Amino acid sequence: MYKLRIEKDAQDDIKNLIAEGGKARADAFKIVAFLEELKGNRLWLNELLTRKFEHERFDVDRFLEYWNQGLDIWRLKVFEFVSARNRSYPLPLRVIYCYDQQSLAFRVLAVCKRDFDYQPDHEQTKRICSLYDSLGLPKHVTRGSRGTRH
Amino acid sequence: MEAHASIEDDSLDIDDFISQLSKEDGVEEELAESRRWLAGAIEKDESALKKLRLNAGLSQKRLAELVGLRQPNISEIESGQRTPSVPTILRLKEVLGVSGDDLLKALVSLNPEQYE
Repeated sequence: MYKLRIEKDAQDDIKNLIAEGGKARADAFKIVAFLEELKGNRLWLNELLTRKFEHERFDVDRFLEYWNQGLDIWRLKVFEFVSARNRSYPLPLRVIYCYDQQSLAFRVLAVCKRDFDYQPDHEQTKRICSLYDSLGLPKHVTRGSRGTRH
Repeated sequence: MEAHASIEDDSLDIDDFISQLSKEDGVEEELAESRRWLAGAIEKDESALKKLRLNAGLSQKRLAELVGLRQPNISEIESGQRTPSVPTILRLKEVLGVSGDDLLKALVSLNPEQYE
C-alpha cells in the first residue's frame, strides 16, 4: 500500500491558509479532508501518476514546467460541484506532489494558491525544487543537464 | 500513532497531521464539515458506505476506532472486499446514525452475492 506523506513545507502551507481564515481556511480543510480520503483509496492513489487523469472529484497531471527541469513533479486539482450552476469548479488551491519510489510514498511538497504561476524565479518554485532535491529524488536528463539518481 | 516512523524526516502521515491540527478547538467540526462536503460528490463509481461515513463527518480511522476495527478493515468493507459480521453491522448502524435499511442497501450494493 502506498503511503501519503505531507512534507513540512506543505504542512506550513496548509497551516498558513487555515490561519488566513474565511474561504482560504474552508478550502484548506477541504484539501485536508480530500487527502485523508485519498490515503485510504487505493483506486485514487493508483491514478496519481497517470497523465491527464480526470475524475469527478479531482484531476492530476505532470508539471511540465518542472519536468523540463528534470524533476518529476505532479499537481492535483480538487473540484467542487456548484449545484446552482450545475457544474464543477476547481478549488483555488493546487496540491503539488511527487512519488518517492524508495519509500513507496506520495509526498505532498506544497499546497499553492491558484494564482501562483510557477514562474521559475518565484520563491515557491525555488522552494519546491529545493525540497525535491533535498529528498534525494531522481532527476532525469533534459537538454543541457545531467540526470542524477541518489 | 501508527508505525510511520521508519521514514526519518519531518514529513507526517496525513492522519498524524490531522491529529496535530485537531488540537485546536473547533477544527474537528470543520473537518467533519469538509468530509460531508466530500460526500456530496460521491455518486456513481464510489462506495455507498463511504458516502454514509463521510455524511457522518467521519474518517476511516475514526470510524474504525468507534466500531472496534482497524482502518484497513474499514477500507476493505467500503470496497466490498470484506463482509462485516452482524455485530459490526449493528455497531456501524449505531455509529453512522443511519437506518438499518440504508446501511443494508449500502452493504448489499458493495457485495450483492454475499447477501442473497
